[in-house]
Amino acid sequence: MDINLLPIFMFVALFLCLGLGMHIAFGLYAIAIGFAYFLWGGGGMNTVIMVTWGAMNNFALLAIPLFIFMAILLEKSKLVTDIYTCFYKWSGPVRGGLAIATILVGAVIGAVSGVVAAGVIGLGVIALPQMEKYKYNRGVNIGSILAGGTLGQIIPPSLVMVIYGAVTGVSVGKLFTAGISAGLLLSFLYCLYIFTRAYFQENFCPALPKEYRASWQEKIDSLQVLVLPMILIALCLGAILSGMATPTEGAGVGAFGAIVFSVVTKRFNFKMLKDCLLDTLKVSSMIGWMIGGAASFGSVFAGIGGNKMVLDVAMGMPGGAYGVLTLSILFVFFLGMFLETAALIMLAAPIVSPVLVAMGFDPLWWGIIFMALLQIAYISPPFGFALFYLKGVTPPHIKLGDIYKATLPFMVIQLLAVILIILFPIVGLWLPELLAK
Amino acid sequence: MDNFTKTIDKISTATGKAASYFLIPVILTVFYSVVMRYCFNDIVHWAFEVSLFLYGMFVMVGGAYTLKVRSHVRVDIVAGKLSHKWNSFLDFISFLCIIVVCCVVVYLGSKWAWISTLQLERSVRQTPFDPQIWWYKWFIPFSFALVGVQAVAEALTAFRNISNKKEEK
Repeated sequence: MDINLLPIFMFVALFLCLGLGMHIAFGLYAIAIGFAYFLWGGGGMNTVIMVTWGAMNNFALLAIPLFIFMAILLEKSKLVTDIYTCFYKWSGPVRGGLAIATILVGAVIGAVSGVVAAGVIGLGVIALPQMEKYKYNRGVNIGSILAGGTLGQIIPPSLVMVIYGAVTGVSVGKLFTAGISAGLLLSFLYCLYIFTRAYFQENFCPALPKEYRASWQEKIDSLQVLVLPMILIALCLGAILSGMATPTEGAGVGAFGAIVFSVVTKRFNFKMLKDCLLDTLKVSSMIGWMIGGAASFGSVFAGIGGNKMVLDVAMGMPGGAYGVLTLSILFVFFLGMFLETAALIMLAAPIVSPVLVAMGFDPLWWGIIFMALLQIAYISPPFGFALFYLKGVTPPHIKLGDIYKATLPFMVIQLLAVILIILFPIVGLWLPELLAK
Repeated sequence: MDNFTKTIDKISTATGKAASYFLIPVILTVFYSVVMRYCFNDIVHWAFEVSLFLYGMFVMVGGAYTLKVRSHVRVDIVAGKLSHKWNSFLDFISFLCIIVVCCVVVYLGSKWAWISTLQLERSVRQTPFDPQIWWYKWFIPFSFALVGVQAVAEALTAFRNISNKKEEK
């Protein structure tokens, strides 16, 4: 048998595992163990132990449970409600104001929480009834929740960036900085879209009737709920972005700050803390075991020359570097339609990212494009995770079909953002470049 | 049979709940070391490795509970379109695969951790704290054993569902 075909067999085995609906973490372990055994004999299987041990001793991964805990605790402490109430009061007189407020709240939530579910579920519960009450077009109300809620994973702190950094070796701090610029770009495009459509279509998303608008006094008063979250953002993100603290240390500060926040706002109780811990455990364990499996797979894959093979194929591709880039984007986009994002990063990034870097692309730039593609993956039908988070909390008269339809314009905007970042890297990377000076 | 699977479920839940508490000391340790470093210019030597140990135990031991509550990710494109019987069959295969993986890792991992135990191995990280780490290595075979046992229970349930014509989902 031709030894060069082995990496291809590994891929086939992987897709078989995925297709049969096996647990991804253990499917990856099984493939790694199987191939190691047949190639290198019993001793070769020790690779798996070594790799798992490595994952248990990686300080960067500690940020994962910390960020998850922070997000879940803040969500259970009703942070979304607080911030939404404030933005709601300010946005009354503007056409499409509530939808724009939803996007902005999503962005602010994103800056204190690195987990998508928190934003989408929170906004689905709070913002959707308001927008329905004031007769917003269904497409824009669902769409803005999905688009705003998923901003959390491109605006730092971001769980997926921690995973991406751990998998590819790109600095998480730099990804965070670039994430701010890309996140602002996306937020701006979303708001622009809503604003423009509201301006030209009168009944698309009307402004609030005069009697429902908040007075200036109320508006000013509402600002005080922002104080605590702002302090939290300043401490957690400030420490990471200024380079004073590692992302893990920043996450520790953030998690501690979240506890303080829930105590100060008198929403803390031990039942809630226990639930938070168990929820955090579920997600962190899922990710942690998958990291072990994916790293085992990756190390056996590299050991049999898989990465070299992928690179050789890529080098020989017609269309040169940009051909490979296009193909990589399509690959990530395709996988994103049915894979969970953490799994997507762990499967696609170790294969695609080194190739693109070897072809001369900036690792940070590609990293941020990858993150923007994940935004699309979250809301792309049929299996985008955010769609199901939202479906889980919406009233029954909103069908899954409505949700699918609502995502389309926002997916187009996301695609536009990806294209903008590719054509003009500066729109995605101005902040890291500014800080580097 | 029922008692057997129920006992296993209980073990996984208990270990999962116990492991979940490890996150609190992780938060406190990381926070404490950050405060000491940036406010008092004092390096807490033990914080780095203690938080790593706690994190590792948190994630690894939690694996069995995560399996029990079906939080390990899988792709369910095919599964959604199949009959109950075929779904149970695929489940059975999946859990069988987990059992095999766990057996291999428990066997190799125990051998590896045993060698380390004989030497009372210490950390390679050369910090002044210099902890023993052989005990931490046992968490690999231990956690995979827990997952494997939970997978046995799940496989049994799946197997029964294959033979049962219809069962509530």
